[in-house]
Amino acid sequence: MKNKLTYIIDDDKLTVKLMSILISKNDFCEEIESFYNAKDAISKLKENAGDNGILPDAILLDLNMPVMDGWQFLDEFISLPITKEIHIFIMTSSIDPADIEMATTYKVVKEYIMKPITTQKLDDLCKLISDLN
Amino acid sequence: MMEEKLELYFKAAQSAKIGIWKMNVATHDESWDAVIKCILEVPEDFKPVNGNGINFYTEGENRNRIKILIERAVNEGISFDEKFQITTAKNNIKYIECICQVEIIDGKPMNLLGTFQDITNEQNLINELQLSVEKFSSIFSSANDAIFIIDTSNGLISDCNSRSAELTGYDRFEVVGLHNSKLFPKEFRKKAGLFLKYNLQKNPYTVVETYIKTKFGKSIPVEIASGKKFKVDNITYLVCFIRDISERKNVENKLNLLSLAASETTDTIVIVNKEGTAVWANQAYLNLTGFNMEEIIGQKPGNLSKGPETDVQTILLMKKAIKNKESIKITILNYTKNKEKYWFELNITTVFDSQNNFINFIGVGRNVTSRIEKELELKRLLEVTSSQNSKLFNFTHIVSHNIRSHTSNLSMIVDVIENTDCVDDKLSYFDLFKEGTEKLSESIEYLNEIICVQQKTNIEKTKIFLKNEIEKTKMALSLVIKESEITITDTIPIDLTVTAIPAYLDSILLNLFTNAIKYKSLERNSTLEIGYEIIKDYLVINFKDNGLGLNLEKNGHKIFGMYKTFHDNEDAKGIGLFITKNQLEAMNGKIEVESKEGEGSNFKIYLYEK
Repeated sequence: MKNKLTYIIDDDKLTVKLMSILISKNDFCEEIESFYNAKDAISKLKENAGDNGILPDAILLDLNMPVMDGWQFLDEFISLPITKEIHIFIMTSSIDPADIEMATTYKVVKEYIMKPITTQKLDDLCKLISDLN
Repeated sequence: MMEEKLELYFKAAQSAKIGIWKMNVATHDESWDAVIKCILEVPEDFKPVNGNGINFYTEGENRNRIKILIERAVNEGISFDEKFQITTAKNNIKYIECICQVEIIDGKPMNLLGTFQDITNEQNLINELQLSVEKFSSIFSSANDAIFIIDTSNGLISDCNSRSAELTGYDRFEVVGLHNSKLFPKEFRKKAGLFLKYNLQKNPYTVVETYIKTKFGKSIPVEIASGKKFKVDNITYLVCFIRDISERKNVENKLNLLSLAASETTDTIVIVNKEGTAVWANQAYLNLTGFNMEEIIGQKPGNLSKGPETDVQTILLMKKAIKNKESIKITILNYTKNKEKYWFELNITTVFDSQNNFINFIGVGRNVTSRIEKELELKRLLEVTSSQNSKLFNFTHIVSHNIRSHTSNLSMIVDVIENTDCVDDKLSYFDLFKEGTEKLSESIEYLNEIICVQQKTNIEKTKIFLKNEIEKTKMALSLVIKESEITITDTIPIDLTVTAIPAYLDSILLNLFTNAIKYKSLERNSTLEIGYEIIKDYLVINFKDNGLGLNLEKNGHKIFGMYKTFHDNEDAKGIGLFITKNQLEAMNGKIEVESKEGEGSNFKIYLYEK
């Protein structure tokens, strides 16, 4: 199954912009929706929880964000009544082993990707998603 | 004539209560006078027949003896004079003396003539005396003390008991006849002689401690008691009691050693009675506290030593232990007489006697000031180290996240440029590159600012009028304050000064003012109240707003961290509180926050004033 909609959640606008450019040059997905903070993303997910058609297939999630950080997002995400399998990829500049360790405790997190994101890394991610599907 | 004489004898005998009896050897006819009948308590008309008089002699030894004596008198004509115990007709026990003379005619015993005298009183006296003699001789022989009787006319020992032999090592026969001075070692002879001479002149019971020398030359510590004298045949005898006190001396020596140890040890020792007041203290305690013995005795040592910084909890613990008569170990900050502080490690031990009655407390202590100071210094160093460590952790985080996030953006741009074929497209990405580098240099500038704060911990602090500074900050922010319609009030007295680095205080005030404005609530009229209080060594400035507030449970741990923002504000950089915290720490102060989401926050600025 093809990866259609991907959410990018990152407070750094430049990163979001660059991610969008990279993804559009790649075959990663058909459509991107960007959020500059995790709270907005949660609201959107909650709103569309019952409609699998418009829920994303994958989420690229940053960890260090104001208001609600990546971990808080994951905690809230787990409690949402969503039946669709959404693959979450942590995408962060943190190389702290504690963060990597922490990520493994969330089942929904499929991969921990260290910034910078490169074409190569996006290609690998594509393969991973098709394997998962 | 003869008759008359006999009559006279009878009368004399009667008045002397001496009974007279007569027995015919051939016929065994007996006649008793009234005195005998009276002694035997038989009626006057009693007639002794067939020798039944013998039956009054108490059965056993007495009766057997009289039988033999009478037989010998009758058969062999032997007289006797003996004492007997009898049992009267009324069953009373009496003692009598019976004298019997044999009248011999033609070489043959014809009659037995005798007297019969009641000697009960005399016998009882004799018995008593005998008992006393036995008693005293048993005391004499079995006494635990050695007893010597000295003939004062020549100084020779005339008698001694068996214990004397044990004590001196001499045989008892060797002691008797020995000159008393031989019992004492040469160096003590003069002393012992004087003592005995004194006792010869005076009567009271006196005691002296000296040594005796045994047969084998061993010296034994003894106590001599003397004073009893008696006179026989014009010679005065002196009774001396000598008691071995080696054991007592040993205990005394041990006690002396112990008390020497107690008074000479470098540990302090105080003995306290059950009321908690001191009865004794050793030199080390006096040296440490600066008090003298008179000032200590009768006082509660804890009361003398406590001072303003003495921990009240520790005092209570000690009082409770004393009240409950329990042992306790404490370390307490005490004060000397001159009000100098010292740390005192004190072990209070309870002492009970063998019947488990409480006797007293013994407080053994020592001055541990240098140790405690080292511990406190170590603790302080540990605090500094761990705070440095957490700062370092923050820095690692900054480097790993904030700088990395910018550099990774830059490398992403490079990646995009590389993967773009069209030159115009490539050029269009340079704006993004510029944006990335600007953000990187901004981050580095903030970092620089923080490092500067952390380095300048030694800048001179000065006294600043707080009210004045608040007014200046208000002035600088007057436009923003007006725009945001926030009401800022304060209760700071015009003459209140704080001790701070001026530039830091400026920055801290500016930061807290702008925070209150940035995170005001849109649902109500915003206020910021500034007050102050004094908590121990700190002057605490309170910045209380009614703004958005924040959830401390969720975010409390990161509120003063770097690049942490909690509200969706465009201009929130997450650096202000981090810098404020660093500036306060550089001045030995600190920052705390109380907050409730949706109600407001109270930032407490602790300025160290010592």
